[in-house]
Amino acid sequence: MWRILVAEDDPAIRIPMARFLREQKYRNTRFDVIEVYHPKQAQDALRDSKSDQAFDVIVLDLVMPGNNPEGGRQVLEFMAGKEIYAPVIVATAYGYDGPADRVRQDFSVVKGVLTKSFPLEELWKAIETVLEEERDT
Amino acid sequence: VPILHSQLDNGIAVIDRSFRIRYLNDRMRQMRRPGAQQLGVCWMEFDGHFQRKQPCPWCPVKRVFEDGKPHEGVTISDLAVSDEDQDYHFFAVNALPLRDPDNHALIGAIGVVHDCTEEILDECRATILKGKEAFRTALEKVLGIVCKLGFDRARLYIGTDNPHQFVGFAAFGQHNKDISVIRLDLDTDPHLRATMLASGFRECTELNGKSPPEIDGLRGPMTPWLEAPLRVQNDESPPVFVGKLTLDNKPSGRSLTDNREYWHLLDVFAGMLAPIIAEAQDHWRWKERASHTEKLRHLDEALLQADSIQTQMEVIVNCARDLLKPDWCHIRLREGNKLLLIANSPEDDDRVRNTVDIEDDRETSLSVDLVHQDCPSKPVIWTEDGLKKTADCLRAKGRSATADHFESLSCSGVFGLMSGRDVLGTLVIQSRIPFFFDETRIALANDLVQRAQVLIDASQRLDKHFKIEQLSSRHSPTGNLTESLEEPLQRIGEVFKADRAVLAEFGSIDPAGEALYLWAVADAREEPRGVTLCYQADFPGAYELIQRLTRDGAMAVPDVTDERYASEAIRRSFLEIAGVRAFLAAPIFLSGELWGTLIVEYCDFREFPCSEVSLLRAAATQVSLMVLACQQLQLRDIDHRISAGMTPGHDYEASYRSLLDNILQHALQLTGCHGGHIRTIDWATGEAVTHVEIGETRVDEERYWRRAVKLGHLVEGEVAKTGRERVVQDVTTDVFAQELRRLAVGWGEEIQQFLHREKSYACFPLIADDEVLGTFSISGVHIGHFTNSRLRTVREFARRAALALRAARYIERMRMMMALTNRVIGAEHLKDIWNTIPRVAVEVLQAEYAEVFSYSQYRDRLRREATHPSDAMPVDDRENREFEPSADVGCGFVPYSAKRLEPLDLVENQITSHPQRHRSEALGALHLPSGRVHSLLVCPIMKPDGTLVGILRVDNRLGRFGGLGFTEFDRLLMELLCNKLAVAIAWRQLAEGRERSVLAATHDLKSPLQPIRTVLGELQAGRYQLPRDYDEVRRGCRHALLLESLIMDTLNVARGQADSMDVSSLDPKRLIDEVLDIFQDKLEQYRVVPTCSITPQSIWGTRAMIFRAVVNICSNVLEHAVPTMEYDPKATNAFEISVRVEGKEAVIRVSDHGPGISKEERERVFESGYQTNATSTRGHGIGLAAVRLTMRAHDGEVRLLDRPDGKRGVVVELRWNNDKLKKQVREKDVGASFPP
Repeated sequence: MWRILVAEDDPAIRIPMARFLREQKYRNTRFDVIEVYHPKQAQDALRDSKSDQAFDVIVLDLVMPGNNPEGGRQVLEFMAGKEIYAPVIVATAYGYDGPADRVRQDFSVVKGVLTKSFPLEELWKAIETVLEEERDT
Repeated sequence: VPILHSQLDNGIAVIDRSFRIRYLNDRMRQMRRPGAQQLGVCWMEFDGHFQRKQPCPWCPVKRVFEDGKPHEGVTISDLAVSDEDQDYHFFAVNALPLRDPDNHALIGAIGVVHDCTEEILDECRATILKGKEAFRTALEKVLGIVCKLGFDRARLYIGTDNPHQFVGFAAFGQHNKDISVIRLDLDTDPHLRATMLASGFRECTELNGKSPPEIDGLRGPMTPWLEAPLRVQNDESPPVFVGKLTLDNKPSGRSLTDNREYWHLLDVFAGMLAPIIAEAQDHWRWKERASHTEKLRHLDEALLQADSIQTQMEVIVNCARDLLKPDWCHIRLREGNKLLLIANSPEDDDRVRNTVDIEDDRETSLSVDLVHQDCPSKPVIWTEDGLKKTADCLRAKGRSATADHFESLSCSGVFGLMSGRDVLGTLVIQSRIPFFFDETRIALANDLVQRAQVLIDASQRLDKHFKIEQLSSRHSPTGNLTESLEEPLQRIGEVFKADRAVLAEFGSIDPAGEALYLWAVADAREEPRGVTLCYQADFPGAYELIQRLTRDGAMAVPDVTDERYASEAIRRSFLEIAGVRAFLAAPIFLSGELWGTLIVEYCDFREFPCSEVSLLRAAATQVSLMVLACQQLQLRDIDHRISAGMTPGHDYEASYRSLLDNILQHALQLTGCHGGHIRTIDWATGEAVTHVEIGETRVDEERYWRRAVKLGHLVEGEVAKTGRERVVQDVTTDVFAQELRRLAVGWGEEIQQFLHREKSYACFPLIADDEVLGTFSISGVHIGHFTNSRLRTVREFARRAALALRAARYIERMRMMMALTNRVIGAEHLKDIWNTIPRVAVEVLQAEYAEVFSYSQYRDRLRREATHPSDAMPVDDRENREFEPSADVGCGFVPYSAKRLEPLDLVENQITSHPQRHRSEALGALHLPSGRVHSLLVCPIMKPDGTLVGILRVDNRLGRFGGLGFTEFDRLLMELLCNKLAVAIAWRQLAEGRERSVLAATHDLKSPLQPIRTVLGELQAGRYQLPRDYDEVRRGCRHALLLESLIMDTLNVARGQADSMDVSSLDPKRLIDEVLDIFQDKLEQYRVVPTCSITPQSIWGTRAMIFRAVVNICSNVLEHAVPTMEYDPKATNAFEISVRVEGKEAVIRVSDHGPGISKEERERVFESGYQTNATSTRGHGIGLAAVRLTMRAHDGEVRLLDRPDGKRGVVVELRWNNDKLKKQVREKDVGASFPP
């Protein structure tokens, strides 16, 4: 089972996204989707994953919870601080040339950025690409 | 008997029948002709007529012999009674027959004779007083006696008040009753002139072809006649012709020549009558004199009314014609070397010349001749001889018409119109009447002359005074004193008829430094006239001039060689150098102080009347006004240049250097100084450096002047340090030289040169706004050069130099501020602006320290100080000592570390209590024990809308150079700087805020879109199927509703107004349920349990707007309040919604348990685009702004309140006028039911 962490505070986005991902297969293997809506929740999940099983992909919203613009960044900083590696796809409503680009520059784990709104197929394509790249390396 | 006879007063003569004298008593002997000693024939003995054979026709003795009866008669004799007595006499003769006793035969006659001359003449004189008739009778009696010489008729013509006219006065014989109607004059009686000029009687036989009746109408057929002039000759006056006596015989009578031997007695007779007639005429003239007096009185009145000297002279000429009855009369006035005709009698119109030249017309003009007389004050009376010579000269020069005129004249009187010794003009009176000028006429003419000369003199003096008084008003001065005074000085020279007029300023007030500075010289001797020059010179006697002018108010020296008037020094300066023999000087005072002198100079000896002295003093006053005006104009010119030239945009540096140069040049020119320089002080280094210099700078001296002067060094350093001016009248004094050497360490050689070259020196501080900007130095080559007026002048220029410097510095600092603030404004980030501000402030405000706080920082610090006094700003541990100058003065930002001062506290207090209102600034200063000043300046940085964004503070421990604090200009500059910075900050804040706002708005708008797109995508892909996935689809629909709400709010906030109102009744419970339904997922996610308390069944409002407003508030609770709380998966959250109707108002309150909003921000969160300072969560500044728009549209308000239970959190309260909306809707409904 591939493990995906979906960190998104808006349930209207997170719930359909998780449902979609659970229905997908990569290399004939389905995904175990873990949903979180708070940075602290994400950090707990990541901390647990270090001892248990690492996440293959993390889909991360930058602004969470609510209107906190630093939530996503806090998660990335946590990962960097704890030396937790997992490719991250940032899904944010910010456009380019904004905070998304800055985190991409600041954190090497950020492998892709999806700008809301996007069709779920696009998210899947991004996940596939990331997984392929990870596999290559 | 002989003894008896000898004692008788009467003469007794005994004459026999042969007319031989037989006996004479002593008295009779005395009556005989001198030399006659023997008894002989009587007419031979008595009259000396040795050839005559017949006795005298009128002889009573002859008649005794004819009829033997006694006879008496009066006879005329030219025999002298004595040797001394040469007069002629009348003798009364009583002739008695002398008969022989024997035969009673007539043997002879006894003549008893006595001298009755006096009796007759006295009788005549006596009758003068009895009136003309009595006098006429007496004269006719005398004429009767004369006629006994052998004439039938005698007439006496005497002169009248008109010298041209003679009237018949008395007659004997025929026509004696009609004689008074006869009038004779030169034209009607051609013999009149000849008789006047004749030395004795004349025989007249014809009348130039005219018949006698045409002359007098009385004479009848022409007969020859005799005319004898009656003339009086006094020693002291010219002869006077008083009348003439004519004698003739009837045409039918004896021949005139029968009595030729007695004609000579006519002269005797005329000689006796003339004085009596003159006396009578003189007596009669009393009326005439009264008439003259009256005419002179009228003349005086007419003169007073005449408005010009020409009119006055014309009046005098007319009066002369009236009083003196001349043939011609004119007045000439002197104008330089000319005599100009100013008034003349009409008879002179075609003849008299307008101008005669005093040099060229000496022989052809009587007026010019008078000017050349030694004593021109006495009249010159020309007789025919003199006139003829002049006529010959005229004829020789080809002016025959004028020559003819002169030849026709009998006399001409020329009277000088004098003023002292000067000839102002001439009065010329000409007549064809010989002996025209008697005493009366001369006296009358003198009366007129006196009037004329008084008038001319007064007029010329008045004219002079007028010309002098007009000097300052007629001649507009320019900035150049020499140019300005060139013409006025020429005018003064002309008025005073001076050879030279000089305006000079005293070069020194010290006897040791006698010098005179000549501003302008008008020299009449040079061509072209009025050459001006300007030089400064050693002038022996200048101090004496000062003393005399101060003491006496003027100095008049008629003769510089006379030691009574002037000293040797004066003589040397004036006579030997300038060739001046006499001069008159008047002082020129400026502001009550002797400044200089105005001198009129003459090459010849000359007296100076008091009037000229006062006139020159008046001229000096006028000149002083012009000097003042010139000085003021120069100052105004400088002022103009300061205002015109010192404007930003010009090459201001070149401009103000040129200006300073100009100021210095003007100052040198006006004060006659040798050289000078202006130093400006570098505020950072404190050194004075030379900006401008003028003078005889040599190469080595250039280095001297160019060197910077440190504070306290040399005189300038002292002046700059203390701000007090220094004037040294004598630099050679030991005290000053020692002081200079002491101050000028390392300047030895240059100081020696300075002391050798300069004699007096003055240095003024250039002070503006209480700040010493530099020094203004000026020097003179004479000891005691700096009079008070010069010092005052230099001070004026120094003041202007200071103004120019200040303006230059202002511009420089303004430009610097503009450049630096542009750099600040151009900063990319707000933090860069804040960091740059102190550096800019230090440079622009020339401060040692600068510090800037953003308002929040400042507020936080003040709060900290208030709660924890130990955290207060550090106090300098050297608070009781002087601050040492910083090594990096003016070089940038130095952190704040000085002692706090009162002004700062004041500002802080104001900011704390009234941050929005604070607009003032503080200018404070602390005087340190040494006299230095610790000054600081605090200014708020306030945005244009009055919002305080920061505080700027600059600090000078030492103050600016000169120990002074910040100036008013600094304050203004700081205010300007802060304003610009505030604008820059506001702009940058706005830009960054807008950026964030757009970013946040984009984010918030796109967030609801994602669920919608997901639902639609999944439906399209067939992964969602209804009704299985109804909840998923419904979630998408709720977000569509949320998206619409967001879009509408964004639009409304962007355009600044709410939707159009569509009021209806709302069910509040249903509305709240619908709102909560939108947030159902989040409520579940965050385990938030809303508590609703809804009491009214309905409220009134625009449903969509109220719905969006509540959505907005609930969204804020879920986006900001709840998520910011610490994550606790087990905790539950809550918020309360209540809907009430309170009175007329509907009230919706939403209370949360979040971190709350600070009171300072509670009002601002409703502003469009405002973002709170909270770091954990940040809105985009649209939601609450939209809520406020909605409430305002509903005539209501929205506010943030503390929770009533005092717990953490905030209450959002919506409150609007429910009743009003309700009423509006009902009225609308009624209107709809009953259409008009």
